[in-house]
Amino acid sequence: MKKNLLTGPLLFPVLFPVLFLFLGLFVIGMAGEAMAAEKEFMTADQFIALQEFKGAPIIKKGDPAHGRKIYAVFCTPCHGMQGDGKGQLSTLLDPKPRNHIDGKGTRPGDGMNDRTDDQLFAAITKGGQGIKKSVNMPAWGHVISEENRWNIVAYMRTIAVPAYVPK
Amino acid sequence: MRKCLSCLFSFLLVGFVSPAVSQSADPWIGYTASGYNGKIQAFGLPSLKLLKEIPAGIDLHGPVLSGAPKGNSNGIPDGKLLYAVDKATNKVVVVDLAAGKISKKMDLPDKFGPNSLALTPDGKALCVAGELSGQIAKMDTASGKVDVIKLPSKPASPVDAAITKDGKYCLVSDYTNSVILVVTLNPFAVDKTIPSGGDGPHGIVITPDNKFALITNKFSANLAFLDLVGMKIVKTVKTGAVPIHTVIDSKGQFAYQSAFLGNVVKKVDIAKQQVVDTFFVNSRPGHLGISPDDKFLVVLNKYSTGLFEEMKASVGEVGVVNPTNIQLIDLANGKTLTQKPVAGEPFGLIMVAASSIKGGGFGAGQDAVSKGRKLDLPEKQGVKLTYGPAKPHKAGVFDAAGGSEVYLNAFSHQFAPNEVYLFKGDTVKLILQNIDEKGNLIDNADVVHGFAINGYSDQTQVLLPRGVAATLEFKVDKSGTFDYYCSNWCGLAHMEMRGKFIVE
Repeated sequence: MKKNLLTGPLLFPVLFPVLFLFLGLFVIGMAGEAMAAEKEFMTADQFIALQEFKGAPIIKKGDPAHGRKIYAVFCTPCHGMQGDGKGQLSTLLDPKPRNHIDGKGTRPGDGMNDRTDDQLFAAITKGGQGIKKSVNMPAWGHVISEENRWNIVAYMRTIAVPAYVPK
Repeated sequence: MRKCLSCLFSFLLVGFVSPAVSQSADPWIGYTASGYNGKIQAFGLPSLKLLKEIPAGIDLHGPVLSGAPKGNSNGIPDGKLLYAVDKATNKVVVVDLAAGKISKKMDLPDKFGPNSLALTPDGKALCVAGELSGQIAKMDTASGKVDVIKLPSKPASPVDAAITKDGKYCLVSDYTNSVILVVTLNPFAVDKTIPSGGDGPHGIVITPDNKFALITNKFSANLAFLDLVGMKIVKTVKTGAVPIHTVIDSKGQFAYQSAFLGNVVKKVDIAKQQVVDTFFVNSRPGHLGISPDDKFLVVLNKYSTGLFEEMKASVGEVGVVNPTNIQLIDLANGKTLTQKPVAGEPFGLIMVAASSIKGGGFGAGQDAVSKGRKLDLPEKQGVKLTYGPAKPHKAGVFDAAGGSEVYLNAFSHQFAPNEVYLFKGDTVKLILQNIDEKGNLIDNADVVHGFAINGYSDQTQVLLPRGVAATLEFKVDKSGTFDYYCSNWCGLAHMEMRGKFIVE
């Protein structure tokens, strides 16, 4: 009886509108997908925002704003976008990447604020191997200019908590 | 749903485009020099049928064609010669296009590490950017004689080169120091060093009227206009995220710039110095080409995530390498005309009129890759290569019987360690592991790292898909410091993925 109703008198008034509704939703869905694909994965502004420096300079040497630009690209995969040591690779590395925000350290004398500017520059330049630390920290002296390595140091000085006080 | 769309588009393309544009109807031949498979590849365009492959080295970059120093924006190719550089072996490869064969190979200095080259308008000299060594070379195309400039900045990374239309200057982008080196060709010397207008200058191209060099500043998301009279940057135009290369149409009206991270190509009006359109591509564009009649744009996409995955090649039964792909965009309407998977990592597809190639040694034309294909890597000599699954292991150099074992982790974007110290005479077992779980700022699952030691042990190049360990065993037979580098584009900081192989 039901079958007869659907194929008979209800075919046009019920089934066709339902079919059109489904077809409509399908087309809208397809269009939605197509529109989703037609979107920049990341815009220039969004990329530039990742590189934006929001702090204030602390040491005289280097430009922390330029340092942030470099840090955002090369350092963040391990050290994290905010410098907390929780970059996407951090779970895969042993020992863990350094938390650059940790000014005080877990042991006396082991905080970021206990390092001199020259020590930070040496770690960036020579990598972990060069300063008898983890081999996972590359020697960036091969591919980052001296000026930009100092810019990174200048940036790192601005993110420590408690704030770094130049000595 | 996306797959449905892909199917629909594939059906439309297969059903309507391919038969309409048969190989015999192709008006253009496009040449690429390919990274990781070391081949010169010739495609019919717009069909994208592969007409010819010429094994020519290990990790090729370029190419340039005689008569057109930098593609159609700088002259008309005469169909005679092609030049490419081999980043792994420090050679310039010359191909006789009519014969479809290598006519000669010329030596660059040891450890030079060339990334790009440009040809003078008279065809007499090449200007070669030595990215790994921080050097620039001028090579006489007839004799192979080389003059070298060693850049004073350490480090320096000359990445791309372009020669002005008057043949007077070679402009080189120093990616590390964010400057453009203006080099006079006679005498061969750095004349000026100009800030590039942003960070990480990559592609560089000259407008046909010789008024501007357009600089692609990768980490500043811009296109910078370098005035070739005043020799300074006069304008920067914000474009896309992580732009890589730019091409210009034959009239100098529009420039097209690939944005790797944005996943787009930006169209820039050169006179107005502003972005006028955006083309969406799939996925992660690098090099570009443009047909000499300005009708279509060729986009060389680094990855084929979600596309052509059935064309994958197995790596030691533990990993896969998806093909790269070429996407053709109709410049009349911005629509994709066709898109096909290809092998290797093709660089700089440059087109020449099919009628100007006398012979060419072309086949009938075929799909560049097919299901069940094998990984297209040049054969090893004196080096044993095995693959297995990556296993967590502390990175570093360890003593082993008869030599050393080196555990070298590859991730986005570095090698750990990126300095390896060994002794000459040792046998080394180099265990290279890709430990990435995801890419840096991108969502592509098919990111593959590469590895090669420049100029060492005939060839050490391997590909490293995620989760794969490649083991290379060879005799450490040369002392000195050698650069190793990622030989397959792996993301926005791929160029920084470099280290030193130091043999005492």
